Amino acid sequence: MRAWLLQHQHACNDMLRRFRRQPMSYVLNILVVAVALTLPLTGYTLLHNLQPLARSLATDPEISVFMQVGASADEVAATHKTLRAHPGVAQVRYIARAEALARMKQQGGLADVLAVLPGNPLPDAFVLRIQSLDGDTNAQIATQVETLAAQLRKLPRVEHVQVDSDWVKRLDALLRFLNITVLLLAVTLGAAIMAVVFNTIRLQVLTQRDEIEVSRLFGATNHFIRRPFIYMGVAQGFLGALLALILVGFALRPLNQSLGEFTRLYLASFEFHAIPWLEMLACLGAAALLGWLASVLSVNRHLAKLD
Amino acid sequence: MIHFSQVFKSYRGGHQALNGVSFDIAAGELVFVAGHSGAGKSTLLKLIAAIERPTSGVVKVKEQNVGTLRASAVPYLRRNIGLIFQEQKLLFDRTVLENVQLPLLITGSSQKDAARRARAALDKVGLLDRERANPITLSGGEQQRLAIARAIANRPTILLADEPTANLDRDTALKVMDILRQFNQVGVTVLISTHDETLLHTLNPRVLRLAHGALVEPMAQPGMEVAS
Repeated sequence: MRAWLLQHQHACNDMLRRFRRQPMSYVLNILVVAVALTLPLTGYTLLHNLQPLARSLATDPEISVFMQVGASADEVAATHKTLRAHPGVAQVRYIARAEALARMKQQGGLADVLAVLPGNPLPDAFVLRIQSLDGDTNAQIATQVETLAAQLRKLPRVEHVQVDSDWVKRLDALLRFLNITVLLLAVTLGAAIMAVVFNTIRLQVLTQRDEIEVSRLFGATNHFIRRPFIYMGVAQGFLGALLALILVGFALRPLNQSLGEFTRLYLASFEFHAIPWLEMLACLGAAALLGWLASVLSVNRHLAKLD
Repeated sequence: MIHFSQVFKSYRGGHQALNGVSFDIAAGELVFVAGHSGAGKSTLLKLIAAIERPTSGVVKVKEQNVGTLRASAVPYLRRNIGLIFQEQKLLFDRTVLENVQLPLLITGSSQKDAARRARAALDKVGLLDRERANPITLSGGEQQRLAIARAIANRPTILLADEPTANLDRDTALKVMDILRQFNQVGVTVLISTHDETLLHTLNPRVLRLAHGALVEPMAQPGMEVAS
């Protein structure tokens, strides 16, 4: 065990010695890895923030039920009663046509237009909050909402039923598309990282050819020779990912500033947060793993050529 | 310790380096391998260090058959052998001390222990005061002594020196030979290849003389066990 630890300590020292000899070369390689990782990481961070938001919108949809303008108070009351008794409806908010007109005058900036109308053109309406729905995706939830809306449309004296499922479906499709795009980007740039590390290690093996030959003559095993190169590959992947996470963290600040101004216009607040620690660690681990794989492939291939 | 039996070695392209060479070397012997350039001296040493494998015949080093030795076992055989080359194969991006430490680190010594033993080896060859120097700043004789220090740092049981005095002046060559003989006197089996006949006359050792890949003058030196 002690010998094994000593061998790894030696490999680590050897890697640091090589790093000290050509620091700029290694720093630039790490920078290339970081830049390659920053793009998919930024995409992933944005998606990570948007997906829960979209899910909450989809799982808590509202349906607006508009009565015919000529519906009597009794008919409206009967519909109100029916809606409250419906198993798919969690909450019913009644908006009387007079109340709707008053609100419109206050908020819509249409007071002048409404003033010249002979009467109130707005119908009585109900805003329904739907019972929590089971469903895996926004699209499935939207389908269930559509079914409920179809039932409501059949109620007497109901003029129009409005649901939000269409834009939820579109948002869901967009997020799925972005998910796949980020995944493809990550795979492509992961391959790019492997190519960078592979080439760095190849050059290293070639420049250390004399040292490798001498080490072999004095009884170095292939494991002993390979280890510092593999350490270097892992370090490049890990440090590149670490730098990419820091870059994404910095990029979120200006993004949140401009997003803050945008969301304030809609009287809402929303900001992007960095991905959770565990996912950061997974990202660092994945990048280190790519570095390991590329360096193993490279060092095996090029050591075999030196034989 | 070293056993050659009807060893043939040919390289790609058909060059026949060794032709049916047979001999035995006991532990603690000092043996010179003599012959002109291309006689097969380096090939013979390379076979002992498992750098090359015999085309046919048996090469045994410490009871291990080099011809059938698995590639993964070769490093462990080499850890018993100290190698000194004519061109030294020093690493010029490392200090003198780091060059000598390398074989010790390969065999799993700690950095501290490797430094201590490397200094002891440098002391034996008179280079302790140059431990921080870059090998490129050393003279030819010093570089050869450094190569010897690196070869003996791991306390090998066999020391192989391929033309260790080829590029050295007479006095330096004799000093290098003297160092190698000192190691032989403490029990290390030493094989030295040379084409310098005057050195052989001066030292009067056991000689394996090669010509065109075959041993000649098998009874040239007393005590020689040659069966070529």
